Amino acid sequence: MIDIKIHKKENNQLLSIKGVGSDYSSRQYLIGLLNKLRQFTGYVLIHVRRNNYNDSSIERLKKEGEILGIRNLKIESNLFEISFDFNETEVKEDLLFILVDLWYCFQQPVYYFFLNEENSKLNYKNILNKNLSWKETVELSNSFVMFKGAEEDVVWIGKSDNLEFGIE
Amino acid sequence: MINSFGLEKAAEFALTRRVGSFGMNAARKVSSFGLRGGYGVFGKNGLKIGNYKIEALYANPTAGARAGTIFSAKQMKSGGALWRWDYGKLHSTGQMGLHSSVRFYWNGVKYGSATQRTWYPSTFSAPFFNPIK
Repeated sequence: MIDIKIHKKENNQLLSIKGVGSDYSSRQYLIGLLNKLRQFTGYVLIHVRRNNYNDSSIERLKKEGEILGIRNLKIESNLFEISFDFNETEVKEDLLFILVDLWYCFQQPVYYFFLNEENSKLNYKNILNKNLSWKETVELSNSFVMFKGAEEDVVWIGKSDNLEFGIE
Repeated sequence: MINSFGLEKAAEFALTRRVGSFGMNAARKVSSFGLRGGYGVFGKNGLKIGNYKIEALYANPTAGARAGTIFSAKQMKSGGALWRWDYGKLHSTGQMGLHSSVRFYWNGVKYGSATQRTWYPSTFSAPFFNPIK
């Protein structure tokens, strides 16, 4: 069962969704969530760390990344870290399923959704190199940051102050 | 044996109310998770023993400056055995706290616990760990 909380102590800029396991309905829920965020924003940076297990989706990214519409794919040889970005209008729908797979096969997946492409490009390097927190990122540019914390079945989403979650 | 990650639900028990003094003190001591640039005791690669990876004291920078993992032992396969002890913001309270994720196999059955409790078993009687369907 999905339980959504908006955290007042974080100025209502942080939301957590409990009950997103790895069953079929949870995967469908994640697809819906990712779809909504990417369509609302447009520019997406993916940064996943600490591989739990190797997955065919990683091989697919390597082989078909360009066809799928992603840019700047970087994969560390030990699979500690993977990053890439894309423009929402230029990717194939199949990428959504890969994003869901990556969510599970890494302990620390972080998906950034930006409204402004120029700002986002400037920030990509900062974000990847400086390991910014969700709060620092949303203050940097109009964005949503979706990430995993201590609990395996909880999705956290941080947002810039002037944006709305629109998630029920 | 259930191998599908789609069928698994990570066993978990969070320290939200009855926090053991040892656990809380340990969390305070390691709250910066700054060892080896945040990569932890065993660095980026962790300590590999067969198909298992052991890691300790590493940061989760996106979640905040004080968030991270105290200890993690995981089987490197989808839905594999896992023991992880994290410190970070908890959904139930919105405050920082300790959280454990546990799953393991015994005679082909996957076990874990989905109740919230202290990091140590308050009772050793069954069913502290329940089969995970």
